[in-house]
Order: sequence, then C-alpha cells, then structure tokens
Amino acid sequence: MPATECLKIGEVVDTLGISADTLRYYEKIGLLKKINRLPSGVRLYNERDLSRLRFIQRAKTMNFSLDEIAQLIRMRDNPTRARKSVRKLTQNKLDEVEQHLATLRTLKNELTLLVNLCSGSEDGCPIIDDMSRDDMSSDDTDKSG
Amino acid sequence: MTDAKKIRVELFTSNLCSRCKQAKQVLSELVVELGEQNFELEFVDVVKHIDRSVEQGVLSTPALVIDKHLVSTTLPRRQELKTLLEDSIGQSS
Repeated sequence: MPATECLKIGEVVDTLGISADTLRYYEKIGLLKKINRLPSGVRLYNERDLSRLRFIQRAKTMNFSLDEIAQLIRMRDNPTRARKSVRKLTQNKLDEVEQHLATLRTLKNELTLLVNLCSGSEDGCPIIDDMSRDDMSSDDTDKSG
Repeated sequence: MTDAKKIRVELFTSNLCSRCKQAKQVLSELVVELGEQNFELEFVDVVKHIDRSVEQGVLSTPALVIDKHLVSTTLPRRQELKTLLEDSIGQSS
C-alpha cells in the first residue's frame, strides 16, 4: 500500500471502530509491529496493519486473550516457523470456533423458526407470548397410532 | 407388523399455523387408511418443544418427520403424503 493509501490513526478509528488509545496500546505491547510514521510523527497504518487489526477484532469476538492473539498473529505471519505450542494453541482455538459456530447455527435455526411462526400473525406474536407463560411444563403432545 | 417396527411419524405444528389443522386431519386420515398398527403418530407443538424442533431441523410449520428424517417442510398434497407413508411402510417391511 503506497504511503498515500495508508491510513492515519483517526481514519483507522473511523474505519474499524477501534479507539486511538487501543491502537496505540496494541502497538506498545507488540500486537502490532511498529507502525510507520511520517517525519512529523503521524502514524500511517498500511494494509498489513489493517489486516492484523481485523484479525484481532475477530479474535476478540471469540474472547481470545491478547496473549493468545499475539501468538496466533505470530503463527499468521509465518505459519511454517510456528512452534509446536503455538500450532497446538491454533488447533485449540479452531476447535473453539467450530463449537461456537455450532452454537450459532442452532441459535440461527431457533430464531428462524420463531420468525417463521410469527410471520403469519398480524397482531404481534402470540407464539412468543405463549412461551413466556408459566404453564410451559404441561406436556401437550398428542399421541396416537 | 410388530410393534417394534412401527413407523414413527411426527408432525410439528403450531397454533398460529393456518395449514397445520388441515395437515393434522389429512395425516390422521391417512394413518387410519394405511393401517394404524403400522404407525406411531405424534403431533408436536413446536412452541412447547422448541429444542426438539430445532434439533430435528424444523424451521417452519407444518413439518413432517418420518423415522427421525425431516421429509417435508410444507403441507404436501394428500397423494404425496400418502406416497411418503406408503414408501415408509415399504422400507420398513
């Protein structure tokens, strides 16, 4: 990314929604490599920096710690040189993501079912009202055959 | 057909579903027509059994599950439904 296409810290804040303090902190603790600067001291974030920041954001949504993210970033930068412990961490985090995806898929299906149940109703959603009642314990399945 | 070989038929329904009542009626009639002894029929209210519904892949009602397989997510025509049930009998015998 040419310098003219690099983003200043305020532009990164606007683009990614990460605060300037956080961006400086990530650099301070080494989560980001030293950011290039203009002679005036203004930081210029290139595409590689932005890619790392997006990765950090994604990892944080999974509640990975900053230490874990730092290790994953090292793996990301150079997978072939990753230590065995980092490869193991990466596999563990992949497993966590898979489990999270399964949970999200179930939640998505549940919400889809609720939306579909309500779509035929013009007066709110009596189905969801029903679900909040206290008499949910009664077994209402009918069996025959 | 012994009791152990009964075909398990589950119809997932809800109170708000305009076609569920019809689906229940048609399915009940067909079960009688094809031999009640062949089927174990259950009507499941998805609101009261939402976990079971989602696990089964039910995303709308009415939905028909035969021997744990989701076979229809709409109200099938009577003949289509009959064919599904007849095929199930054929596969289990």
